[in-house]
Amino acid sequence: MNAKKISLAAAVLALAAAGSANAQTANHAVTYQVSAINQIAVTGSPSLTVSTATAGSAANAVTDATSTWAVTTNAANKKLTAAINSDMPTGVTLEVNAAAPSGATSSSYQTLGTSAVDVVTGIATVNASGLLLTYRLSATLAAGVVSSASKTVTYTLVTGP
Amino acid sequence: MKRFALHGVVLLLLCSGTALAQSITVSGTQTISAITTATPGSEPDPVTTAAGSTTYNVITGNVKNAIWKISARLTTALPAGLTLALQLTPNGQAGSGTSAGMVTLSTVDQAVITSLQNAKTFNTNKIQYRLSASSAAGQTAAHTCTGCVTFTVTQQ
Repeated sequence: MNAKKISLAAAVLALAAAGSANAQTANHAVTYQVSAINQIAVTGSPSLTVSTATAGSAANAVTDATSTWAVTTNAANKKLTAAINSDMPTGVTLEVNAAAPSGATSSSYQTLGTSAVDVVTGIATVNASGLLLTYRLSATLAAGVVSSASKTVTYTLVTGP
Repeated sequence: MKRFALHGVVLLLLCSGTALAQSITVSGTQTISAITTATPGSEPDPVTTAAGSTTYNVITGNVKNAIWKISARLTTALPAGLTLALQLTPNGQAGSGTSAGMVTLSTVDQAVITSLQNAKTFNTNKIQYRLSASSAAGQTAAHTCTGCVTFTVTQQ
């Protein structure tokens, strides 16, 4: 009888211990998605004036490096293009040199016109800000005196190498 | 002899019944809105579900002097660059526990609710998820991760 009593008590203890250590679980299904994200922004209002020349040479080109651009894309193959809203006066040239984010390539100075030109290529899955936009304005002597005017430069992130 | 044997059986049933009582259930499938936006130059904006868009019910076991907790983990790792976090919010009932706030999930159990009172039922507690993605993660088509998150209720 004593042996049965001990055996029964042991069984009770064993079950209690097993129960308290037995974790209970539940699983939750989760649906998620990451869509295409392609965002760019520019800062700054650059101003350029050609006003000097070395005697005997063409007018000195001027540069402005006060502007920046930023990008976030989760796409694998993008490029940045730039265009202005109307043609520059004859003999006056506006160029831009856009710094590239990590892994991409800058096209260095590109002449801006009404047709888009590639300024940075090979942009892929990156976010970067403070990327320098350097503008350069040059004029031939034949261009003469040109009144102050503004141009809008439109940057576009498009698919391409 | 017979009296003793009967007494033992009753004890056995009581102990096994109460100690195994803890359980947790969650409601439905949680659909998280797609990540679609970013501030240029920054990582994509995380998306967060409304608190309580899914809920959990928990029953704590009856073990003498026990305090209970809920842990959560990813059943399988998410694709590189994706991060899933969650926050459980108790229903406010006395003893319904303390939230650890928004916890980034990994494949290792992490406490998300602690100090659950012993031998209680707490229903309709809120679950909230937050999904983050790096730019480098690229794009992901809508994907249902079945059994994605495992909740476990154990003694603290």
